[in-house]
Amino acid sequence: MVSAVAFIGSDKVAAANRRGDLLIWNLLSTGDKSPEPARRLVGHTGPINRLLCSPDGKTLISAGNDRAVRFWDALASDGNPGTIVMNDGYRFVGVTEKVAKLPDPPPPVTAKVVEQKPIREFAGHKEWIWGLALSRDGKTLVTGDDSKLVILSDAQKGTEQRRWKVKQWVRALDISPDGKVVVTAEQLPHLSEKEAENGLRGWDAQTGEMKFDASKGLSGGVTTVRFSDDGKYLAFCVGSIDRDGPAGKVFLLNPTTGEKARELTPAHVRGATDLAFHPDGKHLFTCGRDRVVKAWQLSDGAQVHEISLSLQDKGKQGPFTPTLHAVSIAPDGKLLAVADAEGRVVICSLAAK
Amino acid sequence: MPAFRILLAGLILAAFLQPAKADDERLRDAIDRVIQAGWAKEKITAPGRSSDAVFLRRVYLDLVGMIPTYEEATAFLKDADPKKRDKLIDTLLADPRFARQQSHAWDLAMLGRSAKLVDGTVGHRNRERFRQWLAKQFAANEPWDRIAAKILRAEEDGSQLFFAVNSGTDEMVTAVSRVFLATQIQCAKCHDHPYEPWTQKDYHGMAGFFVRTMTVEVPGKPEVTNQKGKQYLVGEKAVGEALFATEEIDPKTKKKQSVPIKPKFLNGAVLTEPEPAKDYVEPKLKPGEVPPKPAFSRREKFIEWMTAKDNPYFARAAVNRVWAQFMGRGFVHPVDDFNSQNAPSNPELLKAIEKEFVAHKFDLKWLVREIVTSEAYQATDLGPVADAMPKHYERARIRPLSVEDLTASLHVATGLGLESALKAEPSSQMLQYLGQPADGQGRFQGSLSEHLFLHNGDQFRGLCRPNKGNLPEKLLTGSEDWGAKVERLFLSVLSRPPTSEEKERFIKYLSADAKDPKAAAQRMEDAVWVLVSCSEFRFNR
Amino acid sequence: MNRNIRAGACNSGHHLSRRSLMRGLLTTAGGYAVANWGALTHSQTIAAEAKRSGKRCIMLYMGGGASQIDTFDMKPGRPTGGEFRPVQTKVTGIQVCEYLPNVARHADKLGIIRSMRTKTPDHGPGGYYMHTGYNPGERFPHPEAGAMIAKYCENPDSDLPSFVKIGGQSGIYGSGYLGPRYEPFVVEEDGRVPNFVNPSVGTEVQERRGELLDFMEQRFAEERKGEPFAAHRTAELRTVRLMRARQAFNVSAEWEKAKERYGDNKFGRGCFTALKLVEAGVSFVEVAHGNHDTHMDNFPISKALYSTMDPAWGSLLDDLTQRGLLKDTLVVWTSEFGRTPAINVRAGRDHFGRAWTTVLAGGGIKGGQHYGSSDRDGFEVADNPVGEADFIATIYKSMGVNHRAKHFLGSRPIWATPEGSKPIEQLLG
Repeated sequence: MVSAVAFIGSDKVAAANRRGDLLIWNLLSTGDKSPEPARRLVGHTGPINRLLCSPDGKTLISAGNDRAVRFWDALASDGNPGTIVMNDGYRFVGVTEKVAKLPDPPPPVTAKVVEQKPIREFAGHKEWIWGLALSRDGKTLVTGDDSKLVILSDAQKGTEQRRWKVKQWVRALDISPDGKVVVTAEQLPHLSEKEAENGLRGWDAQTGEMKFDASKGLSGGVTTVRFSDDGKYLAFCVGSIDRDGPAGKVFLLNPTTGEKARELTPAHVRGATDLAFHPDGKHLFTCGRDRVVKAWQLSDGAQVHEISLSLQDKGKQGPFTPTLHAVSIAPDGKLLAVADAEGRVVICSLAAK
Repeated sequence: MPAFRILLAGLILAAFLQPAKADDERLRDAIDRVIQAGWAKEKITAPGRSSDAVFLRRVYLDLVGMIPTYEEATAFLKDADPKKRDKLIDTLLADPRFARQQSHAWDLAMLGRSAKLVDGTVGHRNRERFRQWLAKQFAANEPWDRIAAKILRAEEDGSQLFFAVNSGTDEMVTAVSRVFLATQIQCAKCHDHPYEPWTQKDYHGMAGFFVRTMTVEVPGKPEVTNQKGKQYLVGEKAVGEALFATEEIDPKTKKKQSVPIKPKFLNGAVLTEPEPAKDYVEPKLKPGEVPPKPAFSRREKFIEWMTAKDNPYFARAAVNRVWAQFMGRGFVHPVDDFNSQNAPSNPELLKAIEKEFVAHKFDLKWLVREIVTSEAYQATDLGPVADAMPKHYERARIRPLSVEDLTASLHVATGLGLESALKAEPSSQMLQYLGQPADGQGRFQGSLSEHLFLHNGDQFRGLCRPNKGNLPEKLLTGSEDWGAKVERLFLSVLSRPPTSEEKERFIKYLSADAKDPKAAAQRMEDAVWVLVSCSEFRFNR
Repeated sequence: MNRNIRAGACNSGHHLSRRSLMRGLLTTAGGYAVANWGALTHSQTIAAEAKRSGKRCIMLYMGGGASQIDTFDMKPGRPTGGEFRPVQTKVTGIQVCEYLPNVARHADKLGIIRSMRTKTPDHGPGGYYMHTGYNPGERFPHPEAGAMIAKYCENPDSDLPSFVKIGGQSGIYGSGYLGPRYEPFVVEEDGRVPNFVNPSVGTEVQERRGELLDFMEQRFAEERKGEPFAAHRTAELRTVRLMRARQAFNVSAEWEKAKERYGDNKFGRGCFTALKLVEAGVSFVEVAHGNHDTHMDNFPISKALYSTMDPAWGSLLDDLTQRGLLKDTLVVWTSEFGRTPAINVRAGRDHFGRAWTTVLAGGGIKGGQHYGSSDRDGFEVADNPVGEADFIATIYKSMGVNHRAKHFLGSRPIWATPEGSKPIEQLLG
């Protein structure tokens, strides 16, 4: 299942999965044909939770359950030649009772790739990393993990600058464009709503002191929180655990006080998983467990567009369809990439909008 | 196994020692003759007769399902007529409450306490409809063979619950054999019967009579309670066979082969039935619809066989059950488990009652009257025997009040009147905490929950607290002296006057805070609570 | 009270030999002995035995089905392995999940059964099976293990109930044919007693009316020796004693010091209450830890679950060890089933009964060992399969309760665990 996705410039896209695979595709300028991956970034040994590309488009940063933050040269094209099997998943899904024989894997689909190694690693974390953000000047990296730890480090030198404890496991975070506030989405996940502990808090990036606590009244676990590049908006969405009904709520907050400014409706069904601001500064995109990508207008909060992704395997239709895990928008604002749990990255053109 | 031989020999001997019944002997006298012979043989000192008060409470609970009111109790205790017990029995058997009490007893015998429908538990409304139907039968003193036949025909409104609860063929076979024939044929379903010569094929032969029977649920008509409950219709298809999976493996399906088994009565006779019409097509049924009455009904043939005068199982099953209802232990115990290894304790008496019961055309009221008029039934409640159901009936049996008896009796005891007692339904908590106070063998077990409920639940407190018009309030505000009040309290709750020691103790307890109305009310509540919480109230003895 | 008593049930698997039948029924025919004479004499010996040893049991029940591959039967490097890493414990060969550090410290005490093979993937029937050892389809009033252990191991002089369930969420299957005396006494999830245990009247009133009741009962009993009367009086006495002793359930004061170690949450407090109850002489305590039904996001949710499960369980083993109670206290970790080796499209694991894990510790269990194993990817038991009944039989045997103790429902004989069930001797000391 594809867990994270990020554009590199407007002509490349990187995507990662929960097995630690990280691939980069060069996007073809025309046609509907699926491109083949060009590069494979080798290093992660566990699920990759977050991916981002530096504002200058030169560095790709990834983090996940193997507790490492890895930095990659986003543009280099050289490396050792290698092959990757695109469909080597173990065909065990759905096997819950005794089967005489596990189904045979389908014939392999292979691709030739260039294998590359990380240029740098940041090893300050001892737990699963779900929080990954870079300041808008590209200089400060903020990371957070399941030991309730947030670390500020120099993105170029890799040196740690500051660390502090928050209240719960960090599920997502961002740093304000002025570099003053770190907002963390925190969570102790649980199937029972009563037992789950959900948080959304703002911290002074200089001192690590809490500036606001917007946790009260959260209807579920926050999956992503993000400032718009101009600093005017702070958006977050809810849905870390699948719930029936319109549980995937999306909100805009006052970026300084953390007070709720607006709820964007209609919500995603069963959970919203990720969000991205459009470079035009006027729109917000969200994706969810309902396999829908929504476009919202920031000025009035109206939903202006909706893309519903169909399933390749119609057998998975129903309440538990594969989720859309992440969205990324190309710097030129023309393309949008979606990480689909069905094992693919979907590129949508925003030109028609 | 020498012990085995000796015991068996003793049993046969006992049968021979019993003097034969003279033709003109009343059944009640025959009962006493045999039971007394048993005592002599066992060298048991004949127990005394119950006191009037003990008999009074026992016969009220057994015949009308609640304790006597203060007025009923005093009237009986004051009566100097030597025939007053027989008179009371006649009065109670004619009381409409008798039919109601019998309906509770038989409903529980047939469906158990926690009967479940296919989709859920039998709710009160379903149950009440069945009980009211049963009560109508008992009120009209319908003979048992006809009541049983009506239950199995399941045509009358309200009678269908037996099949609604026992809705699969296996469940029908089990329930019918257990309730009406007192046999446990279901053991022969998966293996040949361990106690009897019945084989799996016999079981499936029996199933052949019921395999075509089906129950459907339809919306209920407005109830007595003015609310709708579910209702059921029972029908029979014209085709369908009981299948028996043999040990042989079908070469095609690789599964055990199933062969149809012809309906066969328990005594071995195979049902002769007409060949079904070859071109018969079963009509398609809409939801809530049962098939039209078949031209040939297997179930009807079973009913004919079952209720026939010479059926060897039917009458004895009823006799044993009614005997146990009043005497505690059936001749065969447990009551529904006749088998060749479980010999009756008094085979001759059982046989004699069975014969008379058939001769009296399955008249249940007659049978009940004969039993409760006997000295054996009216035996004392005192004595050293610990068993709740003494083997030789040398002391009256002890059983907890059912929640129905208890609910009604609490209302009577606290002076709320008969109308209120008849209307009161056991609460769900009462059912939960006091509904099944026995282990797997039917032995009474007190539970923490029961007593916590008595102590701290709202229900008992609510009834015991002086409240508009109830007995505790009347006693609290009444102008009689404390002695008269305590007299009245004991007669109302325990159906007997207090002993002098009790009287003294209760007067002291109740009058301690007489000047403080709140404290006095609390003491009154305490006194009533003590009387309804003690063993004397909890049990029918 | 979920007592499914149904008259006329026949226990299919229990075909009786002709001979045992004759013996069982002889008494009925002769009409002399008490109905379950055969079991009674035998049972009393067993009970006496168990009482002497003072055996106790704490069952930690993971409601919803805890994952075996993510805890004690890890498959590192396999596609079914999931997102957790194994860590080596002090016992060679025993690796457990990295998120079970507190339990891992006790690896030398754990008997880990990795070859549970059970019959149903449904919660309801699975819970019944794993509490009684019997098939729910029989519709027979089987008692759950807690009731059976209460019957044979209880201290009749204790003021406390012999069978306590902390939180009823793991299901209440009841005492069945053993009768209401052994019904579980259900308290709140955090160990607090239900409201109706608190006296509805003041102590003074309660005492004086108790005396009056006692007076009535004594006079009544003078010439009436019937067992039901005695049972009624005993239950009343136990109830009054329980109301007086109810403070045993209130661990607030000590909890302040313990909560750091156990985890300041309901399960932590439940486990600590279980410790205190066992110390006070309760025979069987069940503590539920719910919501293991991770059909989605199995890994973060399981990690969160273990973050409350592990410190409580580990601290319980610490304290039992420290107080010298572990020898006589069996600590059971179980569920209705395990979870699929396969990880579904929502990163969840589903219900799985074909090869899963339960863990026993203390109570004479030989620790520091695995029993049985699953195959490479965990889809099938590789050796020594253990069924529900074998599991319950192992618990009974370690408690000194004869797993084939015979009882009766009506005249039907019934055994504590089904015919053919076998305790795991390798785990028993």
